[in-house]
Amino acid sequence: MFCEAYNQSLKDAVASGEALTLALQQHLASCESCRAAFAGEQSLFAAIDSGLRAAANSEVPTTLTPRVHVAINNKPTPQPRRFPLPVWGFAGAVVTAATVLALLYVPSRRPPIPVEPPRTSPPPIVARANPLAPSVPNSSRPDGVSPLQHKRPVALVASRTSKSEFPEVLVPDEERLAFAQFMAHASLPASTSAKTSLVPRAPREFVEIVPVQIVSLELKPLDPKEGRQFDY
Amino acid sequence: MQELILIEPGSTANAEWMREAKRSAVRSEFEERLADSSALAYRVARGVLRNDADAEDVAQESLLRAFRKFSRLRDRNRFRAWLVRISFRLALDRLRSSKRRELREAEWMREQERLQPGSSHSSGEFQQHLEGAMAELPEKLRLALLLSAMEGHSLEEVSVLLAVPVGTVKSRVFFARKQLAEKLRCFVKPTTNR
Repeated sequence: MFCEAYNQSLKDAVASGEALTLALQQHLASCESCRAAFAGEQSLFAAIDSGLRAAANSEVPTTLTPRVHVAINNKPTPQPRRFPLPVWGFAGAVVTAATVLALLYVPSRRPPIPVEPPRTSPPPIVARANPLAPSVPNSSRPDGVSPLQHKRPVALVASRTSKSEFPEVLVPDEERLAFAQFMAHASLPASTSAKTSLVPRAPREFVEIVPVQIVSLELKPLDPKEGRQFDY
Repeated sequence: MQELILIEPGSTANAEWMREAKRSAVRSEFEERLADSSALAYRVARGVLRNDADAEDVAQESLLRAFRKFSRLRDRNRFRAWLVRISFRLALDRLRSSKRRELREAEWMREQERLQPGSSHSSGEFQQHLEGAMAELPEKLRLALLLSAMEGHSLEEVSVLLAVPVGTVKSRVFFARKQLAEKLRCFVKPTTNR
C-alpha cells in the first residue's frame, strides 16, 4: 500500500502511463512499501492493457466482407430523395394545420343543448298540455316563463308532464290559430310531438285540388299608363 | 382538345445512364472503403457485445446502413468516424434488446473454461472480469478506451474518430483505466502492505 502522502499521485502516474516526477522517484527510492505497491500497480495495469488489446483486436471473421458484398449487391442502390427534407417538413406542417383547423371549425353533429331561460317570476298563463298531467306545478321548479323576457305576450304555454315526451311550446297570440292548424296537420313522431289543450286536434282532412281549366286566352296590348308605373 | 407533349428522344436514356453511372461510382467508392473499415466496425461491435457471432451481425448491419446512406455523407474523410458511431450504437442496441445475453455469456464462459488449459485459467478468468468491468463503464469512456486499445490507433486518430480534442481522449482513457483498476484490483495478487 502506498504512503498516504503519495497514494493518489503514484496511482495517477501509473494510470496515465506518464513518467514519474522527481519527487515521486526519490520517494520510491527511499520507501520499500511504496516501491512494492508501485510494482503491483504496474502489473495490474499491464494485465488490463493486455486484456484490452486482446479484446479490442479480436480477429475479424473472413466471412464478414463477402457477406457485406453479397448484401450490397442484392440490395438496390439508394436513390437520392426526389424532394428534400424541408419540402416534406413543410408539407407535413400544412397538413397538420389543415387538420387542426378542420377540427376546430367543422360544426359538431351533436344536437344543441336546449337552454331554458331563467324563471324569475311566476308564469302568467299556464295551460296544461297534457290533461293527464298533474295540475299543480312542482313548487321547486315552477313552470312558466317571465313575460319580461319576451317582447310578445305569451298566450299559450304547453306544459309538459314528462321532460322527454312533451316539450314546452310558446306561441304568441297572433300565431295561435296558425299553430293550432299546424299541429292539427303535422305528423310529428310521437316522442317529440307536443300536445296542446287549447285547440283540439282536428281530424285530418284531405283537400282535393282541382286543376285550373282555361277555356280561351285573350291577348291585349299593354296599357302605356300601367307600364309607366313600373318605369323607374 | 388534343394535348401535345414535347419529348426529347434521348433525354430519358441519358438521365438513366447518368443515374446508373453515379450509382456505380458510389458503390465502387464504398467498396474501396469497405476493405479497410470492416475490421473497425467488427472490433467496435465485438468490444461491446463480447460475442463473435453477434459482432459479425452488427458489423454487417452497420456497413449496410453506411452503404445505404453513403451518398448523404458530405465529408467522405469522416467515413470511419461515422462508421464507428453507427457500429457502436447498433451494438449497444443489440446488447440492450437481447434477452438471451446472460445465457450466451454463461455458455461462452463455460466454453472458454473448457478450452483454456489449467495454467492459463487465471488469465482467462481475469479477461472475463476485465470485459465485464468494461461493460459497466460509461459509453464515452468505453468507446475511447476500446479505440485507443486497437492496433494502429494513436490518441490523435481516436480524437479524429470521436470528433473530440486529444485532451478529451486522454482524460477519458485515463478515467476508464482507473475505473477498471479499481474493479480489478482484487483479482490480482495482493501487494505487500506497509
